Amino acid sequence: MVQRRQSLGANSLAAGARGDAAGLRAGLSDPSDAGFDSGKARANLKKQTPKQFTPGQTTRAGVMLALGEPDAVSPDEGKLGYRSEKVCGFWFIGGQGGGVAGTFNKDRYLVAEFDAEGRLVKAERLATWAGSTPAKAVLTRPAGANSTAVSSAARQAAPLLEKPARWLPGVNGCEPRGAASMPGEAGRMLCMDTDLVFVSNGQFANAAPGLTLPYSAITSVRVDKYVFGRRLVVHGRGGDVHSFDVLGPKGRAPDKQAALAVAGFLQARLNH
Amino acid sequence: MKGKSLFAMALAGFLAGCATSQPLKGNANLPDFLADGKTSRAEVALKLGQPSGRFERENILTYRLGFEPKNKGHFVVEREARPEGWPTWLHARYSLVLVFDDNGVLRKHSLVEVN
Repeated sequence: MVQRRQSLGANSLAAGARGDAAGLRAGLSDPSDAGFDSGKARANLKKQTPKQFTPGQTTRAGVMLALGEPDAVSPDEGKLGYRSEKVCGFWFIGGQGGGVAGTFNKDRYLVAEFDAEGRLVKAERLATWAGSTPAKAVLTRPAGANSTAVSSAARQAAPLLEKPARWLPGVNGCEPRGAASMPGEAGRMLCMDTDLVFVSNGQFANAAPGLTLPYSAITSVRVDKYVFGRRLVVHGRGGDVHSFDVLGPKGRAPDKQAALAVAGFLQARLNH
Repeated sequence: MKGKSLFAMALAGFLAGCATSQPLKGNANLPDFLADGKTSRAEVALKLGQPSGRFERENILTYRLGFEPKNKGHFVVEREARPEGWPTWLHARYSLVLVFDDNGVLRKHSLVEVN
């Protein structure tokens, strides 16, 4: 849930330049730099960071040269996302003999939005408590009128079925030996209209998927039993083979129902 | 007596193992080969390998660099992302951003301290 927002678009910059008191107050009264960086996310986002950039002038390269590699990007590169994570407090529950402790974290995001020429439209600060908002959700929030991001995002086809999964290219179920314990590449399996697609968690959204396998190039689909559950095995027409550990909703453990759901979908496509 | 000497040998081996230092990671001069207006994209690929990010039709490449304080060495780190799509910067301290012109020659670069 987005709780706080500090926007520095063309209008607010103009307001600041005119000495508009309300516009300046909005920037100065934001206490969101409280806390300390967790060390897990980037630490170079400050309250004043958006003011480094000038809408209409700063380019995409200019933002990256100043802040470094973005943490997320929209598929059309119309938006760059940067994330920091501050520890704002600690909690402890327990009594005699033990307990559990943790931290209250606050995520802050800077979303820089660009026009078709790669010039900054606006740089906006967002913040959430209690967990990270997925990058996709942060970057697909409604964009400004001049942005190309919304129209491009809308043009992107939505997957018919999507599951977190681990991809094991070249692995045929539990073959070769030792394959049962291979971790695979973590990501998302997307069943699109005509293709089976795998997108790695580590890749940016503007990069080509790790795997795009047209349904017409699939010869067989099966689900193998193995030590920790079920493994989906897909054979391609070119002799290629791919195995997938399809994971449950939390993306942690292989999930039998999820594997069977994907297998059922693929079988239906093959028989179509 | 034999047991004691075996124990002493085992202890000596253990301590020797502890004393063996791992080679320090990184190269203090790693980004020094970069020269705006001179360095080509091919040279960068040869020295640094695969970038962690490619933008604007590969006119912007980004690398994540770890840092070893003992030798002030930089080394390339792979991007690690969580399922929500946000990466961690636990093992990377710097982001190297390289902007190339249409001929593949480095136009601008910056080494940004990220974490």
